[in-house]
Amino acid sequence: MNARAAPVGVEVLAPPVFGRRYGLRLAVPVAIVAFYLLLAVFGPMAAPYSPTDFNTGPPLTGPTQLHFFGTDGYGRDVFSRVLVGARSILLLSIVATLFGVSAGCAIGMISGYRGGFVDEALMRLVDILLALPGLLLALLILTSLGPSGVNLVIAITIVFVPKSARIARSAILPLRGLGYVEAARLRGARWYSIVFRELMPNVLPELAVEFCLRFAYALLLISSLGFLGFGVQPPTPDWGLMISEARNYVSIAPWTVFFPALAIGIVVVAVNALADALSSTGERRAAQYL
Amino acid sequence: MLRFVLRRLGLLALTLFAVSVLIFSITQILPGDVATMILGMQATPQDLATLRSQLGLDQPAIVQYGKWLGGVLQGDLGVSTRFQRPVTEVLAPALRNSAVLASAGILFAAPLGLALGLICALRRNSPLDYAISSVTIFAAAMPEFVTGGLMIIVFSTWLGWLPPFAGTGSARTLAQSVSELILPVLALSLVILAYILRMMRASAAEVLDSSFVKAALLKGLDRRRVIAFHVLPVAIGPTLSVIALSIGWMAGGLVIVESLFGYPGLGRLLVFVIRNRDIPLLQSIALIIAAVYAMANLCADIGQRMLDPRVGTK
Amino acid sequence: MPLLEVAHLSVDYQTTRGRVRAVNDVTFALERDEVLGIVGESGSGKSTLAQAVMGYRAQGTAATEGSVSFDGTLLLQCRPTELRRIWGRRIAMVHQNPLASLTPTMPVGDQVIETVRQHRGIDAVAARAVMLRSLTAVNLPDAARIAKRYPHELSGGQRQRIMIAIALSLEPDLMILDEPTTNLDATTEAVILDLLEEIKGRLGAAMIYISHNLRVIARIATRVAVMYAGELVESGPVDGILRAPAHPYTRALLACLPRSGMTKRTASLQWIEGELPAQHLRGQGCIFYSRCSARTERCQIAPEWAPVAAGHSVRCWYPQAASAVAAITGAATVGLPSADVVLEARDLAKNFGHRRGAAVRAVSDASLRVPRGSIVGLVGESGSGKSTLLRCIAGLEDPDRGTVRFLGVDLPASVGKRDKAVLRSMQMVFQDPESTLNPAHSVGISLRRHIQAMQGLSATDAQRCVEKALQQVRLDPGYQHRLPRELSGGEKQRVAIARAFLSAPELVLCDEPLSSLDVSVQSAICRLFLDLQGDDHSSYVFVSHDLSIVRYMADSIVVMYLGEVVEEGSAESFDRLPLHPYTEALFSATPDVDPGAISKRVRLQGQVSEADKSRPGCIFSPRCHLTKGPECDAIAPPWQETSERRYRCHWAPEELRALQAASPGAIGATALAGAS
Repeated sequence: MNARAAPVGVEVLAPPVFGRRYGLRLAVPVAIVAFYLLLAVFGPMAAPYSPTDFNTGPPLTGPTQLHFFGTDGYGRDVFSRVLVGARSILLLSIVATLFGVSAGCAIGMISGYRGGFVDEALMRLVDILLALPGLLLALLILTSLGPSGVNLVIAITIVFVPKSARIARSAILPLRGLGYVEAARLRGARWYSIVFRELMPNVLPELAVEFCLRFAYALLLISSLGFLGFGVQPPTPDWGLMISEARNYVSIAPWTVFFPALAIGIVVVAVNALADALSSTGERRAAQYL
Repeated sequence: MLRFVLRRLGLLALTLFAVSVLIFSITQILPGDVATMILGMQATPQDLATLRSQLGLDQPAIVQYGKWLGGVLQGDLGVSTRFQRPVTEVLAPALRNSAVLASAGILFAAPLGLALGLICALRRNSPLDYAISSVTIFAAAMPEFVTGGLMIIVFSTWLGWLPPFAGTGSARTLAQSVSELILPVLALSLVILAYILRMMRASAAEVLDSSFVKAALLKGLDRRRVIAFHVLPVAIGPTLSVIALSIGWMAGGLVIVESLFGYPGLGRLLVFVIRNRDIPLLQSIALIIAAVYAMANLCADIGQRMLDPRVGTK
Repeated sequence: MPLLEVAHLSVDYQTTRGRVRAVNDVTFALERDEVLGIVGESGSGKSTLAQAVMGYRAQGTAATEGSVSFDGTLLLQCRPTELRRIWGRRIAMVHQNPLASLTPTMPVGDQVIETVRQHRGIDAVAARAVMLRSLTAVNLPDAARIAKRYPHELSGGQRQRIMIAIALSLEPDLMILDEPTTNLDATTEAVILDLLEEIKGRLGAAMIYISHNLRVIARIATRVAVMYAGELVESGPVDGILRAPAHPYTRALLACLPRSGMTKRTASLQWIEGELPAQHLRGQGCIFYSRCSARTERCQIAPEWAPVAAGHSVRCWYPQAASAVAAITGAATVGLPSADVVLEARDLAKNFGHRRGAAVRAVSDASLRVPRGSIVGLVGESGSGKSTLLRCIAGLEDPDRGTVRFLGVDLPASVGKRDKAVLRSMQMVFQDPESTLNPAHSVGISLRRHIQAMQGLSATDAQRCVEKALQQVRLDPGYQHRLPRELSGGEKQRVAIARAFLSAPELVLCDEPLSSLDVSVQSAICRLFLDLQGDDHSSYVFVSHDLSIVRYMADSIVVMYLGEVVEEGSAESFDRLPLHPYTEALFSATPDVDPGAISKRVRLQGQVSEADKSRPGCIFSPRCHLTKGPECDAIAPPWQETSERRYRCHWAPEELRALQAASPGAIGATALAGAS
């Protein structure tokens, strides 16, 4: 009954939760992601060497003033390769996430709102696609289609659609019978109008979080596939591939692994932190991306 | 409960069937001809044709699938085209190695994640909670080859404490094997540890804020009793499904971690098999992973039902 | 020395928007045998007060000032371990919403046992015996079986009995009951209140009973404290408060309630203008200043407590100024029902799939007639199918059988197939004000979209239409630009009513539109409905579980039980003629706020059960207190007709009249004994 009273809780067991330093939690990841986007656009121009040139310096030299991040086994400049590598992974991740999440969310929302047989069938299909772990499904699709940028996008879209559909569906379900939806039906609104004009604005925050989490996951998937050799193909520099190529000299030239690893790590953490800041219940939702 | 388990097992069988169809159709459009791959470019068309009919490749896809399925149902997974040995024989050691790695990972991550998650929920917004929460954001986000690579740099290259490869030597002592496993297990379980921890923290926090915990406290119950009997059973339920999801995630993690550390398990075999288009072996590996994953989900659902009698009644 | 002394108690919460004072300077004392009723609307801080009295610091509590002395112990200064020895054993709390307050993963019996063992340190066998005794003491027959159940497997009434059993098990000195019957059906509420009265007599424990419902407080309390915006404004013996309320707020609150015998034609309900003031708007003066109709300049200074009678004091500068409160009078322009029929729903049936093999029927063969210009009140407990019937008429639910004839035309079942003229003429107002408006759209967008979809209006015409509708529901045109979250519950419901009336409908279906609102807001919305009807000559089907509102508003009343219509007739006839046994129980479960009003106690046995629907005989006979004989269980009852009424029962009107004229006590007693 007490609408205005503070939430009931248990101070005896646990202290209260309040969003402290919220602005900072949002600003730092946004700044990092923005920096990476700049890298994707201007990285190649800023690179001191061509990322594919062999013997820009002696192979496997550590960081120097000429080679900030050192050189790899072929004498390629690691700094240039890291800079240039940003473009492919960010571009592919964004495109794949856009396709996968928007298609998945649309399917999930429609399926959730309309219910009935179609919903039942779609969700069984989703179950089957989700029976294989994401990386495995992507691997299988990529082996049958062959590794290329476009196929990478296709594979990741296929991996994302069922997951996003589930999230969007469960976001829509509790809203289905609410007063404003019934009121819309009473004025003769059709299902598409209800789904996209009445319901979608209310789940947009959740979809934004979903997009962020999926984006982080796409970065992770694409770099992992690259590491396994099924992603972006040489000679285009790819962070994942750089690490797997450098794997064998890690004991003599750790920088060849360290800097690309750092490049991936920072952006994935930043996007995750962004999703976390966007959603108050980030922890619960984050779990759905496993 | 029994009816629920039986129904779910039936559903599981159906899902596995659908997955096998899915895998089969994906492998059908694989580029390249298996016979050419086995015999090499110099093979005569005659030899190729003979091998194709030996392997049944000249038959329509549906017949091939039917034969394969019939074999699987009788426990015969077929013959690996690359190794020319029964699939079961090739799989067994890899499966055992991966099982060691994966169970070590889950046995490390699940209890630790649950315990730390509960502690964080009980001390919400304390410095300890902030520290653990910040670390989990990092751990949850990093791909395994990145954390693994960084750990190799730190613990092998710089500190020289642990070997950078695993499962390669032949004559090894137990201590060696264990020290080889430490880095791969850590790399494999860091992500899932973070997820389990975060889920446990969120769900325990929600339970701590619930009316029934308040009511239990106002009955004058001991703090410990409230946590053990009123908070934990309700809070662990949702976390169980995250543990099951973690097992699916670990399948992907195995592929990465085993490739990174050169560990002779299922994941590395999978990459090899894909490169060599060994379809019988690929089918079997994918099916095993799907089956383990589905079983994990089923166990989580059963566990949830046992902990919380409300589940499934709505 | 009183058992409990609370002095100058204040509680502050820390919220994201700053500090909020939920309870301010509350002082009262409680004797050992007293039942103190604390009444207040939502947001008055009464639940916070209850917790603070126990020495419990809820999450987010920033500061608690003042003192609470319980039997000589200063609770606010106690350490957690000391509090744990008092909680449960000496002060026990019964919470609102028992489903959320019982641990879902533990059998209810164990939840009693653990409390006993914690405080008494006895072994499991002895504790179990105590548990069984407490369950029996709260009239749960077959205690051993119920003890094994989990909370979700019990009915609402049973759960609340378990909560009470936990509280009783250690025979505490003080029981605090926080809205214990809210969200329970009226018949269940009545039985729980009987139980509490019985316990009060037997145990001799002091009680603090917190409720928003004055009728309930009037029944159970010996003393009443009225709370408004975190402060006590009046306190005194129950008779004094109800007969001679001294504070303008108490008086206004009482005037908001329809009394028995009141109808829209004979009297007008009052309401309190304005809203509970937001925290930052509360000045230094009287807390009721902004809404008081009798305020003067002096009221800008906080008033002191002033005695008005023995043990009755009030926090007002004008404690005797009863006549100074301008009564808001003037009866609504009441529409007169005419002979022609707007809506005729015939034999509607809706079946919601199967559960455990048995078909769940929400509505079975219900019929409804709405004459033009009339208000048809549809009453029944939860699960009676009244909302489903309404939704079938609106086309939101596809009925399995039956027809809906509207303005002389048979309508397609589904709303999607009805043409725009029909949509315009039949609109609906929903129950929950929080979800009735789309939170993503401003009020203006919601309303414009609604009218433009049904009527091809130009933007300016739609705009004019929206402004007119807002004016009709007494909202400023500026409200167009507000988002729902910036409105109070009452304002949201006004906008929802404006939306329903945009297209000048013939028929408005109202699905419990008042039930989530506070009493003072409720009566204002109720008046708005009546005024709109008077202006537009529209008709309503008005669903409510609150009988007093329906008796006040409706021209005719339809009573539903388990998906069937069991009785219908003109509203005034419900005061005179014999009633269907179920209706009788329903009416007697609604206590009257007038002290001393003798109400006959008819209590129902058992609980609503889906299984009763598949019986060959009368669906009500398993719970009926007037069962006639074996025919009740075997043969479906016929419709008994009188001039103004018809009902389904084996008793003929004369027989029923004779039975109901018999001593009320006798009926009450037999029914009580078997009640569970």
